Amino acid sequence: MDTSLQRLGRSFDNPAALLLLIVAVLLSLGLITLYSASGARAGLENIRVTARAENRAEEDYRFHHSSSYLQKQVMWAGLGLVAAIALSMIPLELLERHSRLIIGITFFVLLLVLVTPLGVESKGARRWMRLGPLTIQPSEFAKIGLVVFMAAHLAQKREEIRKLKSGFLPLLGIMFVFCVLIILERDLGTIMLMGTVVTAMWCLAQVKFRHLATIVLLALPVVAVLILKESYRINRVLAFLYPDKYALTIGLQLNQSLIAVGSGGILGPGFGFGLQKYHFLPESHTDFVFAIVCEELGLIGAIGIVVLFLAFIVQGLRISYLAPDYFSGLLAAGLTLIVGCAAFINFCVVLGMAPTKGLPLPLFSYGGSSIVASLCCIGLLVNIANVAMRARGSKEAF
Amino acid sequence: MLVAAALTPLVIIGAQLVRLGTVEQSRYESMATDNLETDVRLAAPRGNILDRAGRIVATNQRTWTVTYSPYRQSNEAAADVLARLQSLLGESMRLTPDAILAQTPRSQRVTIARRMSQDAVLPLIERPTEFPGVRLQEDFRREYAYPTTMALVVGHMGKIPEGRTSDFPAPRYRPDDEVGRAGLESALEPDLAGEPGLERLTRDARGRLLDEPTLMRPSHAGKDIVLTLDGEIQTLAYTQLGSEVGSIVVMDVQNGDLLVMASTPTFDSANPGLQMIDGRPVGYVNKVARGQFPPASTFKLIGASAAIRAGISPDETVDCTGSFMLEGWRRPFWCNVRTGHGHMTLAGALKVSCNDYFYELGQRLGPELLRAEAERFGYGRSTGFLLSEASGNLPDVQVLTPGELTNFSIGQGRFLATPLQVVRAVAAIANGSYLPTPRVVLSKDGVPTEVAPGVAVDLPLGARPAILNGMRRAVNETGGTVYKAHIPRAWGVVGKSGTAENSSGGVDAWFAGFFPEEAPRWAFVVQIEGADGHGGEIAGPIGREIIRAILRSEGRITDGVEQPVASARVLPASDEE
Repeated sequence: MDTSLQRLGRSFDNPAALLLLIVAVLLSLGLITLYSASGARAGLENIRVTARAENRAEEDYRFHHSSSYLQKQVMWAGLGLVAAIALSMIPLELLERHSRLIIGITFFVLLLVLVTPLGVESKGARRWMRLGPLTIQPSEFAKIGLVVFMAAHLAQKREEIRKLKSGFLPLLGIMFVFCVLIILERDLGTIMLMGTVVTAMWCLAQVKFRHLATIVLLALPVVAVLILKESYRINRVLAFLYPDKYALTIGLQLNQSLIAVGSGGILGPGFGFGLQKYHFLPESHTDFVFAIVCEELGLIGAIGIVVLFLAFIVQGLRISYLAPDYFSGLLAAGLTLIVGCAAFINFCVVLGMAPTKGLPLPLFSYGGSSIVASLCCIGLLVNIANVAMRARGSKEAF
Repeated sequence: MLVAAALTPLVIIGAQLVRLGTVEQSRYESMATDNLETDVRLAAPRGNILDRAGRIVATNQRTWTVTYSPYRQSNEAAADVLARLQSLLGESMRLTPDAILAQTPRSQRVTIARRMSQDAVLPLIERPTEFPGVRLQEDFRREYAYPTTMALVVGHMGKIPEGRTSDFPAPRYRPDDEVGRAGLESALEPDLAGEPGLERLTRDARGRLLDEPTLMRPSHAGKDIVLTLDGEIQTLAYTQLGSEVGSIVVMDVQNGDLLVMASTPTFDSANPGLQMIDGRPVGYVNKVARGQFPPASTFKLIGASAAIRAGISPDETVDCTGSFMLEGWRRPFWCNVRTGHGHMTLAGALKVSCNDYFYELGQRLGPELLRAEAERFGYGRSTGFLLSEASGNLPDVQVLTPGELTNFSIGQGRFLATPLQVVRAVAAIANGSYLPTPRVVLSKDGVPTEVAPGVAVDLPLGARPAILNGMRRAVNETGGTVYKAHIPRAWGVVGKSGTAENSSGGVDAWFAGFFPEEAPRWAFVVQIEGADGHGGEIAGPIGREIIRAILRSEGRITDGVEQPVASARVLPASDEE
């Protein structure tokens, strides 16, 4: 009989083990940070009392107690875990076989958001969909749909992929439709993210370099036009380029983000002791939650989280490498990058190294769709890892 | 390859994290603190000014300054707040809402209204959350109980003058503060100005307090100043002066305390820019200290002292013919009575103010002795008064040619003195030994101000009785120059009139003296410019009313009955010729 310790050690042969450990740590840190950023006015209960007495009418008292954001997020995370477990068990062939259906449904839902009353507009963007009591953001799931389709198509057309007409153009067509739908949702950030992810997948699938280079060169002016067309996008670029000049206007958010990151120092004052979340940093619980991590946990904590995300990517790519077939290998890489690239783009935005985009930090930012979608990606990654292990005769599955 | 690809973003992001967290850390940390903490100035009231009886002369009214910043507000929200502010403040609003909204950067705090009464801003105090971005600052406005009658002493407040901002440094002063610009408000600025305190507020971005305000520095009110002046008698002095241009000063002969310091025309402390008061143009010169006039016959008192110092007997007589011929001069110097006074003793000459006597005296003494006596009595130099003063003009010996000396001996010609110098000389005669230093501040925050030592005059033996004899007769005997002022004999007033022709055709009338004779307390000078008549006739009755008010305030006489002073003395037999 194996000792339990040996079994535990062997269970780490499965790359999903380390992946899940990383995800568990990130998710826990994410929830704690969210609690701090959104409502843990730790030890300052009296403030809310004062504030209520003073500002009875103020709008943001929708959430009446300090953990209300956390409760919602935990609920979504639970839902995400259920979805992840389900996805870790479904046969992967199903996904490959029905990839056209999946992308079809994806486009249909995105269209629903845009043209039917189900779509909800908020802060100038029509990205959300109301389903009974829940509001979801279909584009978060569309990312997975796109990656599944890309992986399946690249696997099926493996031989023809270097041909333009039968191989590359259909892929491009799907990507184009996806981009158009997302653009109409005014979500340039998601396009940048998926552009990166899909380009990476194409590279892995050895799409002809000439095709790839052409399409990248063609995309650049389009992106430029899209930025110039919208004043808020120009402002974001300006604020990024000249943070000090626009510190109090269009660059307020970035400036306050840098203040949060910079004031944390090496170790930071600890969870709950940051100041920037007191409405100084807009979106401190969503897209800019990493700034709160930096402020409260300091340089060490921030680097720790960056390293964890990096480890997640490495582990995800290891699963991709070990994957039993071409489809699941590409799928694993795509799913890993959906989470990993989003995280790194978010870091760059928060640290003032890229213009603001409106991308959440996976597993950290407040938002149900984001966390459920991220956990779905992880579920599929575990699924692929398990299949890979089984194919190698290991019983260590999750 | 893969490892390198994975490490690149780590290195880039790590580098930025390290940069922000170490190199830039202190900068961002202070920015974070600035975000959260606002230091609010706690206004400190200026010291009150009281008269010697404790009546308020200057005090402070609490007012509010309203400021606004549309920082982090949408244009619609800001416009809404401003519209409500406008309906609340009305005309007091300095800028239109459009002008305020056009202001950049948005975080700039704009002063919307100043010096608002508590009632006017009550809704802002009671319901601050209905006016986001609006802040109230407590402030004080100076108020004056004697806006015109004390103006030339108390002065006025005003903006910090351009180019003198370094004299009013932060944190005690802000650029838009009002400071003392004239008079005591200016001279005692360091005492009167309060020390503003500082309170640190910790707020979130919506302005909600996160904690109790921390008192960084308490505010201290300025010192309360008690004046030697008496507000009521001062006011009476102005009533007596009426539309005349002139000045009145009353000084304690022992310690130099000024009981009255009045001068017309005056201005309005509360409204110093006002050009006309009651249809008369305002004036900003305290003529008691800064007006320079020929002291005229009041100077004969000093001439008398010089005579006795030179060994001339007060009983020696001079025959007054009504005119005095100086060698080499074709025209005579006239006496005030052109038909002549006849034989005059010193006291008699002082009583009727005989010029001939003093012309003769001047020639006998010569310029050196007479000028030295004038110098001894403080003419030609400042008196040590706290506020600005003129030092008059005491002609040099070389200037005093025989002709000029003749004028000098009756207090005219190029000789100029301030009423303050004259009253001080009279005070020296009253106390018999020294020139008191004028004092106008009795105490600061209850701590009495030092009485500056007087300047010894070294009155020659026998001079004081002789001079007093003349002064007593001038006031109390028929034919005396001030007799027609009908000052009750029992008051013990002694004095000397003076009349000088001034350049504008009228005369400058003087009445200088002190009382009560047997226990001198108050020296006084009444000086009227451009009057029509003789000094005693014009200045005498005004002096009488001031003296009456003083005696009344001291309880020595009561309304209706002019009681004799405690030890009424029998006047010596008249030696009138």
